[in-house]
Amino acid sequence: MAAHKTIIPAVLVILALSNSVFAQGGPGRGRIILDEVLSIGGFDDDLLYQWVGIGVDAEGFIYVTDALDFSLKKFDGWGKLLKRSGRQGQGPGEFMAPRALACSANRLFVTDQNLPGVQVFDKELRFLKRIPLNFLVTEVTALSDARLACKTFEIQPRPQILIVDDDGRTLSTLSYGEPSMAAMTDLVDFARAPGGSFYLAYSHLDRIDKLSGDGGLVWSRSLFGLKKARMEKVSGFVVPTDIVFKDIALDIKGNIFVLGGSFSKNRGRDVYVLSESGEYLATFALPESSHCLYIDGQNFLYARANEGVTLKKYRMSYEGFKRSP
Amino acid sequence: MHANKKSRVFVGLAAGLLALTLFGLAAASLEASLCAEAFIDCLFDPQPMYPWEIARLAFCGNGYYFCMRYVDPIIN
Repeated sequence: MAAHKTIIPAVLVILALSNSVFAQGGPGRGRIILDEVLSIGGFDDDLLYQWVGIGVDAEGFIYVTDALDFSLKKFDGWGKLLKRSGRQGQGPGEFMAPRALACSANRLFVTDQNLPGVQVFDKELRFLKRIPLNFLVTEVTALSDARLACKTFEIQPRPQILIVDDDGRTLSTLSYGEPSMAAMTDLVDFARAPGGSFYLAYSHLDRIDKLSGDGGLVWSRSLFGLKKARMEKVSGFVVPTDIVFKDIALDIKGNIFVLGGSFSKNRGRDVYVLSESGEYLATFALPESSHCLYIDGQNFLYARANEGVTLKKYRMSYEGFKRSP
Repeated sequence: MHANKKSRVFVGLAAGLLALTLFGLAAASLEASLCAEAFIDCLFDPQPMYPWEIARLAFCGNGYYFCMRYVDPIIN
């Protein structure tokens, strides 16, 4: 009986510990622990209605696109709303459905789901110009104040990321994937490393690629044994009905963070961490499901809560990593 | 002010949230096929901005893609 009195609590303690480990991390060698440091927006205020895109500048100002408010917003590092601009429409500085946001030293670039091209704003949210592109843009990254990397929604002989200037001229292209990929399976989120490499997470394939700055494939890997996304016929068109990866981001040491979707144990929450060379390092779970993942220059991680009404900012602690930031 | 926000947010959630802004639908159900249904409705709705079939397909396909990315967490 006395033995039971010590064994049972010991087992309970072990179970509690193992639960906390698996809540934060998976079977990888490393572990990442999140500490919430800021929460912006809630059901009881008017700060955010449905934020979608995010960028954080070197001074720590936070910029978001708010889809349900048809606006672009600027917050300080403490979460105070400093400025808001935009309204529903198709004119300069107006939005039909604002989506991705990219931040350069002096400019903000905003895409719209329903309008081709990219709108350019200064850091005070003043509209500067529209970059004319013929296609809808699904993803954008700022390479400088005057150069962007864009993924457009179009049928191409070979999928590609466009490098364009701020007048919409194509400067170069980065081809990826294979020629003649099935509809929508070429869609990717991408992140650019300071050295010029691109990391691609395919939305509808179990595939993560690293491309060199000139577009050469450095490595390609899968996380789910090359499991295939379901493809279904919808009104005569075959479209994928699984979303494998939702977003990709890099921390300040160059580790790759990929947000999982349909194939993940916790869809929209599981984050897979890979090294620059594609080695699997860890898995951890966000507290709530998110559509995106963003890491700023100070290595804070941002994700969605309350279905977009709330933006959360987390400090990341690394355990068991060879090179902890 | 807050009541206004709550009503906007909850109306959005109840109707499939972003599907409203994605496709301008009058209504949508919170089912797993929400994005597919919205895609179909988009294809058959007149889209004055995208009168040509190939452009409409890209417009609706793009909407489907964003629906999968943003609405998906809510319906699962």
